[in-house]
Order: sequence, then C-alpha cells, then structure tokens
Amino acid sequence: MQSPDLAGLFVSTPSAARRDRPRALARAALTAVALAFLGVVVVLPVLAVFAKALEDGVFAYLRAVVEADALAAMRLTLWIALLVVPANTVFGLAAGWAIGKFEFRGKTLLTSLIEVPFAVSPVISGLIFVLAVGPRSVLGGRLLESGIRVIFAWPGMALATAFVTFGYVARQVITLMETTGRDKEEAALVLGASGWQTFWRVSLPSIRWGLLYGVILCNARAMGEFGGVSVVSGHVRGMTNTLPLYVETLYDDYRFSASFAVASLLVFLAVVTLIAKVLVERKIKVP
Amino acid sequence: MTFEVRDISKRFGLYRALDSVSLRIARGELVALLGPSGCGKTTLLRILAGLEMADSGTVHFEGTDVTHTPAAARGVGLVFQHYALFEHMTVFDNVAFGLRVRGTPKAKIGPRVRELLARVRLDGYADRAPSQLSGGQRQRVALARALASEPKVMLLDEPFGALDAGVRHELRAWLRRLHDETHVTTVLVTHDREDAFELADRVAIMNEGRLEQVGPPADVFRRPATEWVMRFLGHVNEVPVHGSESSVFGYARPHELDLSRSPSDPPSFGARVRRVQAAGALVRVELEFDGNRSVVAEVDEGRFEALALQSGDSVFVSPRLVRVFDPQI
Repeated sequence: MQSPDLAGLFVSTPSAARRDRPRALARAALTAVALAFLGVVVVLPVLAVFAKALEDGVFAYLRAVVEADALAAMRLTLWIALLVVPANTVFGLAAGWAIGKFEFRGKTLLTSLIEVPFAVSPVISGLIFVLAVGPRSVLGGRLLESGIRVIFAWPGMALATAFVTFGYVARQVITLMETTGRDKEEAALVLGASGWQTFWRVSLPSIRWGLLYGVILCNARAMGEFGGVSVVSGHVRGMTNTLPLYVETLYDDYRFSASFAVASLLVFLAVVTLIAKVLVERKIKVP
Repeated sequence: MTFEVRDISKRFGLYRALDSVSLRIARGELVALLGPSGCGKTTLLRILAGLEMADSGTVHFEGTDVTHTPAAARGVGLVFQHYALFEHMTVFDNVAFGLRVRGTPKAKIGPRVRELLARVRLDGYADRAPSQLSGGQRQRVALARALASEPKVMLLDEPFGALDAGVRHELRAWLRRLHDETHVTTVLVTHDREDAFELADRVAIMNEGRLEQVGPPADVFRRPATEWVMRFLGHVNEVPVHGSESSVFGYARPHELDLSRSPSDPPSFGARVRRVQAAGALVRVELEFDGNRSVVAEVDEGRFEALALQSGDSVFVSPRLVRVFDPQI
C-alpha cells in the first residue's frame, strides 16, 4: 500500500502521469500478447498431455508407465544419459578451457565445430552415423564382424545423442572462461600453484555453477532427443526404444492414452530441469 | 644483490612492446614504472613475474639468471590491477592459498595468515567473501596474499587504478609505510605521475617500449632528459628563448615564471593577464602573449598582492629556468 505523499513523490506532475499512461497501456498489451502466445503454444499442449494421459483413469495411467517396455525405455534413456552427459562434460571442460584461456592454431575451427550440432538437424546427425558406422560402411562392417553392433543398438544411439548434445556444456564453459579472463589463473601460478592445482582450486570452482547449468541443459536434451536417435535406433521395442521413441511407438499402435502417459514422464523431467535451471541461474548471478 | 633486466625486447605481432630495455633495481628499493598506456610497462612487469617470455634479453634475480624460470618458482608477489581475488574463497583462504599450494604445514598457516591480515589492517575480515569488501579492502587482501609466501620482489600493476581519489591518496601513504616496514623490493606500474612521485625511490619513465629516463622523482621532475618526458610530466609552458629567433621555444613550469610590472633582467617578455585563480596555496595567473600563445604562471600570495594583478593588465614574464631540448630524431 502506498501512502498519498509517497505516490506524489513518484508522479510529480499531472503531465508526467499523462505521459506514463500510454506506456503502461503498451506494457499491458505486450504482456497479454506474450502470455496468450505462451498459453496456446506451451500451457495448452501440456494440459492436453495430462488430460489425454488420465483419460482412462489413474490405474490405466500407472499401468502404462510401469509396463515392461516402458521400464526398458526408461532404463535405456537413463543409460544413454549416464554415458553421454559425463563424456560431454569432460569434453566441454577441455574444449572450453582450451578456447577460453589459450591462443592456438585452429581455435576458430574448434569453436565453429562446437556450433555444428546446433546448426544441423538431429535427423541428419543420425544419418551421418548410419553412413559412418552402419552395417554397410567399412568401419561398421569391421565392427559387426567382431561382434559389435553400433547402429540399431545402444552404442549408436549414445553416439548420436552425444553428437547432438556436445555443444551444451562447451558453450557455457567457453562463455564463462572468456568472461573470467586469465587473471585468477595467473595469480595462482605466481603464488606457486601447479597447473593441476590451478585448475582444481581456482578455475573449476569459479565456473562451477555455469558448468552445472550446462550439464542440466545437456542432460535434458540428451533424455529428450528424438530425431537423431530415431534414425539409428531401429525402434526395437524393449531393446532400442528410449522414452521419446517409445511415445511414438505407442502412438503408432493407437494406444493414445498410454502414449500420453509416457509423454507425461518427459513433461515431469522438463519441470524438474526448469526448476534446477532457475535455482542454478540464481547462484550464477551472485558474483 | 639486485634485480635486473638486461636488453629485454618483446614484440606482439608487429607491435613492439619493449625495445631493449635494461633496468637495475637495488634490494629494498621501490621503483615505479611510469608511462602512458601502451608504453610497455605492464609487459615489463609480466616479464619480471614470469608470465610473459621476452623475445630476447635476460632477467636476473639476486645474481641468478631466472629468464627461463617459471612464474611459480620465481618467488615474486604480484598484485593485479583488478586484484584477481579468488571469489569463491574467504579472505583467509585467499591469503593462505600460496602457503597451501607450497605445502606449508597447517600449524604454521593460521598464525601467518592472521599476522598478515593484521598487517594490512583486516583483522576481523578473515571469514568474509571478497565480494563483501570495498575496493581498498580488496586491494589489501591482494597485497596480503602476495606477501604471504615472503616474495623476494613485489610487483604491483596499477595498484590504485581501480580506486577513487580519496581512498587512493590514503592507500598510497599506507603502501609507502608498509614498504618501509617490510623492505621488500617493489616494482609498481602506474600511468599516474602522483602515484610514482609520491611513492617511489626511483621513477623509470617509459614511452613506446623504451626507457626515457630513470632517476629519483626530484631529479626527473627538475631535469627531464627529453622533451617527451618534460611534456609527459605535465604543467608545461612553452616560452620564447631569449637571444634566438622568435620561433624557438623552450619549456618552463608555472612556478618557474616570475611576473613584474616592468621589463627586467633576466630577459622578459610582455604578456597580458587573461584570468586569475587565487584559490589555493599559489595564485594561478593565465597569461597570453604574441596574440594567441598562452602560459600559466604560479606566484605566491605575497607577490600577487604586491603586483595587484587584474584581468587585462599588462605584465612582464621572466622565466628563471628555460629547458631547451635538441630536436628529437
């Protein structure tokens, strides 16, 4: 509640108030447009997912979620994330460190390569792997002969996921490393620290929240990846279906409410990711 | 026992940052590297610290060639312009960092850090985060951190650059006292003449990668070696040189100009008072002559009152000292 005198302080003259009115109107209009758009594009579909998922009741929902094939899809999704996220974290740190702190030949090339997955459609990246290590390729043939199946099996899916998501951590780390500069590392060196001590005690702690942010985004993208994985998976139910692929399989089988029930799991994942993201963002802002 | 750079040159691409610079610093001395930005002073400091490699030339610490000794093993303390404190650590951990990475026994770290914090007057701040400190306090943490492992030489990069005028003045005096207590050989880089003159035992003036002049502040101020130094130190007047063509000019500082109502010996030249600024220890008189040339004279209050100068008055200016430099090649 604002007292009249206080209000007088802020709106000092009638003309100022008049000038403010159109601005307030514009603000309200813009906010309304943004909210309406979000409502149509985000909120409604999410509500539709839950409505459809619970169409046949809570028990049907739960049954769909704990079905053997659904559990297998969850396991595979987690397994791939478990392989891909740490790998991309290490890669992202190494690339970010190199790009952010050093000058070397090919730096621009490396930076551009990191951007490639953002520019290329995931389906294309899936196809690249089919061509490179598929059964008909030289490398893929050799691997098959020695009993290693890459395409239409989890290794290929992990590769495709890794390709699609490898820029997320690297990008965050590069931005942070570039903005923090080299001063702190140099200070540590002059104080007698080794390169290793400098990394663990100075560089890594100062980017830890940004790194975590990148990891969260990378994980969300890895678990939700559809296009690239779809091409290399072969959709073997209970074998090479991740959650997003399984949603499609169910849908194609006309098991709509089961399909939406599994999709709702991905919505939960998204919500958890969002919350984690907001919490971490808050930490980053504190200098 | 000295610290010395011999014939140091350094290029960054086509840009020549340092051009065969040699400088010798005695133990316990406080030397200021003074020059405009881009003159190479920070590069020289970084070469001393071991953070930058010279293209040619050598660095010697107390008789040992350390040209190829890595920064970590040189035993220098470096304070960065923006302090480069470790933001995720407390003040205590910042100061203890150098001791810890060198494997100092735990029992010794605590007392040493507390002693240093006391020395920089931050006793109660051990558990604070750097972000909770003011600029001056942050700088003192950086100093304590650099002093912790007892460096042979302290290197300060623009130590007051990020501070406002009041704090700057106070810290300058404090830093000088600290130096007098610790006697650690210190090299500081600054673009600020006052910093250099107030603090340093000797000033090394740099321009475009070369040392223009090295000497005690008073010498450098009174007897600038080159026209460039004269101009860089500021407060310069261009005055006509007597007995030569009127187009030849020399330099004199405002306090070196005497004013009188009549022409006098040493030879004087006529000028007109444009403006008088009487607020201050000395009275500043702005004068014009030859139509569009101007000089500033500073006279003491007694002289000013005796002359009773007003804007528009005609006076005679006689420089007590005129410096003429050979045209630079």
